[in-house]
This record gives sequence, C-alpha cells and structure tokens, in this order.
Amino acid sequence: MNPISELEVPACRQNRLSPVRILLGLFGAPAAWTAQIGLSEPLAAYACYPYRTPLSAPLWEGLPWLLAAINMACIGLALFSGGMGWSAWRQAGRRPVGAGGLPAGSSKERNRFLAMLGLMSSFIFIAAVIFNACALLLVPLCGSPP
Amino acid sequence: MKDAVETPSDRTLARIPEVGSAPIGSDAERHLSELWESAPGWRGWLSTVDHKEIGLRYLVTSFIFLLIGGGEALIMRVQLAGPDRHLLTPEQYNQLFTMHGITMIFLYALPVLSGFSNYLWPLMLGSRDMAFPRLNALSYWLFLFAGLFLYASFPLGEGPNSGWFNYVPLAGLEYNTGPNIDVYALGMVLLGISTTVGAVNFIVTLFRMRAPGMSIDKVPILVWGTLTASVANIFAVPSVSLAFFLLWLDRRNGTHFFDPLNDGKPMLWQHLFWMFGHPWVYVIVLPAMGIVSDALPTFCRRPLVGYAAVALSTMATMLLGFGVWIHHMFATGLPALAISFFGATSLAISIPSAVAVFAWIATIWLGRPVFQTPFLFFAGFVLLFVMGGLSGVMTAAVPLDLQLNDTYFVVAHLHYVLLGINVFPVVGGIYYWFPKFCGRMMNETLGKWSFWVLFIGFNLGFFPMHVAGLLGMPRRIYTYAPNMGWNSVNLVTSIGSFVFAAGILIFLSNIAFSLKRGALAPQNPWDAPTLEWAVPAPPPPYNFAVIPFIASRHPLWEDRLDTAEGRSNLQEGYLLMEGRETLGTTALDAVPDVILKMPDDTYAPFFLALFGSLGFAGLLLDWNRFTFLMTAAAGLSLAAWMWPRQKLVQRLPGVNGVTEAGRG
Repeated sequence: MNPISELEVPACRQNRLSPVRILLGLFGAPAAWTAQIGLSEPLAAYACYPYRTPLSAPLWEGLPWLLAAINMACIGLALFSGGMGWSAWRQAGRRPVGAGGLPAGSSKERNRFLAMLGLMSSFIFIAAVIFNACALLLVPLCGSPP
Repeated sequence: MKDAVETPSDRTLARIPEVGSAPIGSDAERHLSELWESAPGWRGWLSTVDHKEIGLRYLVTSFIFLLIGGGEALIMRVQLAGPDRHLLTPEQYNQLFTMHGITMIFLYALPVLSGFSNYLWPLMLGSRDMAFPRLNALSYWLFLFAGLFLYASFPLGEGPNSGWFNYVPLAGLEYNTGPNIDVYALGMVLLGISTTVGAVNFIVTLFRMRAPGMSIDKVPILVWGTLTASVANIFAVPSVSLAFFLLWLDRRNGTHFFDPLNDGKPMLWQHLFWMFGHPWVYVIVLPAMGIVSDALPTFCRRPLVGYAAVALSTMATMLLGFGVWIHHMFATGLPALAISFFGATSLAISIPSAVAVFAWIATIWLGRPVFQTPFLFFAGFVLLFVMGGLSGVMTAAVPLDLQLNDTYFVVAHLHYVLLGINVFPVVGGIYYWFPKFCGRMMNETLGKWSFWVLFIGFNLGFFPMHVAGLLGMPRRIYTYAPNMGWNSVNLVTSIGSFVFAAGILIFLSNIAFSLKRGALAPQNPWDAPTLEWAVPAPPPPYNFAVIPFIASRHPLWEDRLDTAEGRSNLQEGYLLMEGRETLGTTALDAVPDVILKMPDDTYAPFFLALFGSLGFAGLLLDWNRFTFLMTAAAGLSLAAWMWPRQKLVQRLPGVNGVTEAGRG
C-alpha cells in the first residue's frame, strides 16, 4: 500500500482567471434573456388583455417606451456579458499549457472549458435576446394573431 | 474559480485512506463484495439500494409501460385505420389516448432515461453508488406505485379521459364527475415526488461523487444531459404538481382556482401545465441525446467533435426550453406581442439543437464508422431529430401554428420528437450497454433487423400524419367520415404502426434470446473509451475495487489518442473498505474531500413509498381515517430511515493526506 501523497493525482491549482468574467460569460446573457422575457411578456399581455376583454390599445400609454427600455437594457447586459465571456476566453486561451508543473488537464483546462462555455452561452443568448427584441419592431402591441 | 474546500477542523473525524490495488479474487476484493452485496431472495429484492439494481428496475418497468402504451396506440390505430369504425366508443377512445399519452410521457420517457442514468452514472463517474442510495430506492418505488395508481381506475372504465394535458374546464367537476381526473391529479402529485427526489440525487451525485481528477470538463455528455434535466425538473415539476393539486382542491374541496364561473382562470391551468410541459419535453430528450453523444463516438473510432459545444448546447436548450411554454398556447387569444416573444425563443432554440446535430454529423464524417447495431440506431436518431426539429420550427411560427394547431401535424411532430429522439437512442443504448448490464452480447443480425423494421415502421407510421394534419384532420377524434380525404393516410399510418410494433417485438425477442444464449461479453466489447467499460461485465456490487484517478475524458483511449493530459490510473487508487464507503470530491475539480459512509440496504424506502402511496389512495377514496393511518405509518418509516447511526458519520480524509495529494 502506498501513502496517498505518492500517487499522481491529475489535480487543480487556483489560477488567476477572473471568476467574475467566467460567471458573467456563463450566466450574464441567460440572465438578460430571462429578465427580458420575464418582464416583457407579462407587461405586454396584461396591458392588452387585463381581465376578460382584449383591448385595442395598451392600458398604459408609455408601454412601448417601457418595453423598448427593458429590451435595450437586456441587450446591453447580454452584450456586456458576451464581452466579458470573450475576454475570459482570450485570457484562458493565452495561458501556457502545463503551467506550474501540473499535468495538462488541470484547473487551467477546466477554466478554459468554462470560459469556452461562457463564450458560447453568450452567443446563443445574445441571439435569443435580439430575436425577442425584434418582436417589438415587427408585431403590433395589442394586435390579435391573424 | 475557487473550489470550496474547507480544512476540516474536527480531526477526530479525520482518516487517511489507504491507497493500493485490489485485483479480482484478492482478499480485499472479496471483502468489498461481502460489504456491498445485497441479501439474496425477497429480502434483498425489497431492501436493496444498489444503483445498478435500481437502474435495471427502472429500465424494465418503464419498458413494460412502453409496451402497455404501445398496445393502447395499436388499438387506436385499428380504430382509425378506416372511416366510420366503431371498435371503440368515444369515451373508450378518450381514455385510451389519454392513458397512452400519460404512459408514454410520464411512465416511460423519463423513467427509462432515469434507468440508464441510475445504472451508468456511478460507473461513468468512478463512484461506488449514487450520493443518496436510499433516496434512489425511494424514487423507484414511488415511480412504480404512482404508475400503478395512475392505472388503477383504467380497467374499471374510469381512467383519465381529458388528454394528457388535461385542460380545464373539461377536466373540472362540472364536465367530469367521475374519479377519472382525481386519479390523474393525485397520481401526478405522487409521481412528482419521485421525480423530484431522483433529480436531487442526480445533482448531488454529479457535484460530489466524481472520481478524483474528473474535473467538470471531463464528465460524459450523458451526465450533462441528465444533470440539466434534473435541474430543470427541480423547477418544472412543482409547477405541474401545484396545478394538479389545485385541480384536486377544485374538484373535491370546493375551491375555484380554475372555475370561470367563480372568478377562477382556466388559463392558469394552461400556464402552470405548460411551464412544466415544455421543459419536460427537453427533460425527456436531453439525456437521450447524451446517450448518443457518448456512445456514437465509440462506433466512429474518434472522440465526439465539439464536446464543449455539445455540453453547452445541452444546457442552453434546457434553459431556453423554459421560455417557450406559451407556444402551446398560441391559439388562446393572448395578445400578439406577448406570444411573439415565445415564437422568437422557439426559433432561437434551434441554434443549440443544430449545434448538437452538426457535432454528431461531424463525428461520423471525421471518424471511421463501424456499422454495428447501436450505430444504426444513433445515426437513425440524427435523421429523425432533424425531421422532428424542422417541424418544430414550423410550429414555432405563430401564423403557421394557428393553422396547424390541434391537427395531426402536431401529433406527427411530437412523435418524431418523442419516439425519434427518445426511443431510438434508448433502444440503441440498450444494444450498446446490454453487455455491461447482463454480461452477454445481443444478437447482431436480429439487431439490424430490429433497426430497419423500426425505422421503416416509424416513418411509415408517423410521416403520413403530417399529411393528415395538413389535410385538416384534427387530433383526438375517435373516427371520421369517409369523404374527408383522410382514408389513405390513416390506413398507411395504421400499417406503419404495426410494422413499428413488429420491430419492438424483434428487439424484445433479441433480448430474451441474448439473455440465455448471447455470447459472453468481455469487459469492453466495443472498445469504448469511457470509465464504465473499465469494470467487469456485469459489474461487481462495489463497482470499483479502488477509486480510480482520472486524467482525461477518455480514460480507456488515452494511449491511442496520446493526449498531453497525462494518464488515468485505474488499477491503483483509494481502498475504502471500512464498511460501505466511497469518496466525496469537490464540485469543480473533483479533489478528494470526504469519505462518504454509504448506507446499508434497508426496507425504509419501500415502506415509505408504500404507505405514502396508500395515503394518496385514501385521499382518492375519501377514507380519512385510512389516510391518517397511512400518513402515520409513512412517518414511522421516515423516522426509521432518519434514525442516527454511528456508522454513517462522515469521515473527512486526512488533512495532510488527501487534501495535499488532491491539490498536486
């Protein structure tokens, strides 16, 4: 039986890649999309169909501006998060393989993986946020489906 | 990113585990077998908490439900094979299509994937069991009893009869006075408990039970798929449980949540149901996609192309899946802008889905495909996924959906999705892992026959449904007039459904034949790369004699891939054998963190599930004293389960041993 410390464990070491950037890359754009759909849909639905009868105009005059502001804010947050994700990915990609005498496949690889996930997550959810925002431009606020 | 590893302060609980090897037949290995083996006979059958046993039970039980649901479908197809047929009355037809939907969606599609994941997760992750073995057993027993509960009234002609999405007010007391809907409502609440505890178990297992070195970027895609589905379940299931509970209150306790005559809101039902229902669609396909992502590369002789992209697409699909529920409600009169957001997201969801498709195609394209039976099922799955996905994008467009709503086009789409993306990977997965499950190979000739018959039968059966829908045939009609123009497509569909059933029969015959006469399987018959193939077939009760150290995503292909990631160590590792023990590791990097003392076999989950289910039966029958008694008995079972035991006190690994070694 060997003492445990003699075994080579493919292990990790803390690195200096900013966790905030990785987290923003991973969850920023999804959060923006969640906020966008979670705010826009209920507001649009309630303003045009508050109780039992659909209305031809929204309850609140300022609703288009409010929805525009929400969507712009969400696009901004998604793009900002995407930028952070991109920055984290570049930072993770530049780090030399096997730094610090660790075998490759250690925390460096894990962080690169998370940064890559963040980058892709941002891309998909930026697209989703923009898709949703297009609805504001293309669809009448209180119109009924054809 | 920092892994949360606290230095243990209480050294009385610290222990430095030994490291070594335990070859088959050695004293250590025999000792491990004794520790982990279940008792023979009915005692072991009722009390086992072995994830492999539970996984196989899930697989077998859900397959039985698949056969029942399939039989219901065949009866319906006989009825619809021609116009003006009266094999079934309208009420019988209502109950049949409702039970068919409930069975396939709730009692087959997810449980079968839970079966795979329960069996395979600890083997893929390098652990000796799931994080909560007793909870695992409880999850299975509750699933079984909920299935029996849901079927209890069907033979009496009182089964659920308002469709699987059970819209109010049709499902309300005013239009549905029998026990039909109460059975459905209470059964779904019971099943929801099973799903929820199972989901919690999967989540904790992933973040706590991986072998040392298996950092978060090295877990198999099946694990990502089931993890994603489990997280989704935690958020989605409460919605449907609440909906059914409120409906039961409306029906039996005089509340008016969904009653429009008393200011209730029928739309509330639709929102609550589909907030669950659409994520559920992804819950029952993402783990199946994981099966393909993990097994397809074996037959392409190369790693999956775009591992990170597929992992991410899995999670992104699931998250987006929470923002599309209103696309089931496009025809309800909601304002145009409100539904447009959901149309847009329904289109956006095709991006991550396409990422996965291109990854599979690229894996086949860049690999050297070996056309064995599992490969055929996985390749067939890719084709059906694309077809089901395309019709999904069509129904995501609001104007088109308004035309297609409640027609057979939607039926065709959902069957392409649910059968194409679930049944084909599942059957392929059984062919693939059968040698691991049973120690024998399945017959290859019968396997190929089963694939082609299933594939042809499937497309013959379900593609014409698109045409029927475009010709205006509404779903859920028990018969139709001869001059509607639907005769030919329905006849072809019915023929196809029987061809498909023949394919299932060939598959089952193959299982029966192979169980007895299949060639003995070696440990790794497919030359596969993942960890479950590093243990004997079938695996011993303890899974891994030593907890291995993992260096890459393909521990069994490291030599040929010649990666720079180092080499996994599968022969030498932690010898944890002071009782049932396994290793807990940290969430991101899988650094050894704690010695987990695992529970012995116990009857508590069985009795808790049994008494709990009987309590639900008491609620259904309005037997208040009986309900109270069963609740008390369930409470006693829970107390027996939770009773503190000295041997289950968790051990922190040696402060200067594992922790230092774990950090290199």
